Amino acid sequence: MKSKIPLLLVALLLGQAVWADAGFSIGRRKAPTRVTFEGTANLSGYTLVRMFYTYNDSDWKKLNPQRGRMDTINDTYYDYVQDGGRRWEESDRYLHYALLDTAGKITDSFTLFMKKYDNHLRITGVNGGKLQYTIKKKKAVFQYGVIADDGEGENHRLARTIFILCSLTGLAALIVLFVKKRKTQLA
Amino acid sequence: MTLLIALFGFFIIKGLLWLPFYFKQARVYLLVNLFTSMLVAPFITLLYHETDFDFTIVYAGMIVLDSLMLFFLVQRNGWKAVPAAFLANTIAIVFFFLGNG
Repeated sequence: MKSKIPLLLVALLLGQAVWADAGFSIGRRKAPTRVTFEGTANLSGYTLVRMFYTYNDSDWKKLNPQRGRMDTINDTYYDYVQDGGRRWEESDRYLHYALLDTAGKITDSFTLFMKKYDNHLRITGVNGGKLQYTIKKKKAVFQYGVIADDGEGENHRLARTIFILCSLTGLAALIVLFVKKRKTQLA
Repeated sequence: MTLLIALFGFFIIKGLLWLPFYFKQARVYLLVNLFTSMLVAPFITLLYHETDFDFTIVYAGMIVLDSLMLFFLVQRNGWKAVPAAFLANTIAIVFFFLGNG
């Protein structure tokens, strides 16, 4: 036993050395969040635009909204916020939206905080220059690729189940190996 | 990282690094390698993306698991099992972090 202690200590030291550079402190790539829109046909002459995104809610007031930087929102438009990973700086985001009248003047604005939840914005209309909408929140799920990266495919729940099944199969197979080994030893 | 890439990566890394240790028990160690890879690769991917679990513990856990498996299922020799598990899992976890970002 004594002779094994130095070996274990060396292993521990090497482990620590590797740990320092192995990326343990890298921000993790969590489930990306997405905001989708529905009912943009109800805007009746108004235009909904995404002005910009910021890391801090109060930052946007310092920014000067420029028409060229705005994205016009329609039913197929979505914003995608990736959290963690090498692009850790894109973690939680505040997305700032504005409602413009036909002259291009801002009549209403709102901010969405994006983290951990997908938002679905259902626009019901415009009343006196103010946007009428409801928001549905849904827990964002990490989209695991199984065979190939399928981008934003909708099969992430199936993929996740396959990950779990594969892990359980490995565990079951190891238990079977143990039982078989034990039986052979006893026999 | 996709499941297939994670599995193949773990299997190949462990398979190559365990070869000098368990050359004569190739069939058994490859089987243990396959099953531990199947257990660990998807499980730590889920842990990595869905929890804030400390990966130092995961790394240590992987080494302990592989050491025990090699010791009890392949050859009862701690002098081989611990370094083999340590070496293979160190490379495997670096591969995992490179793949998962």
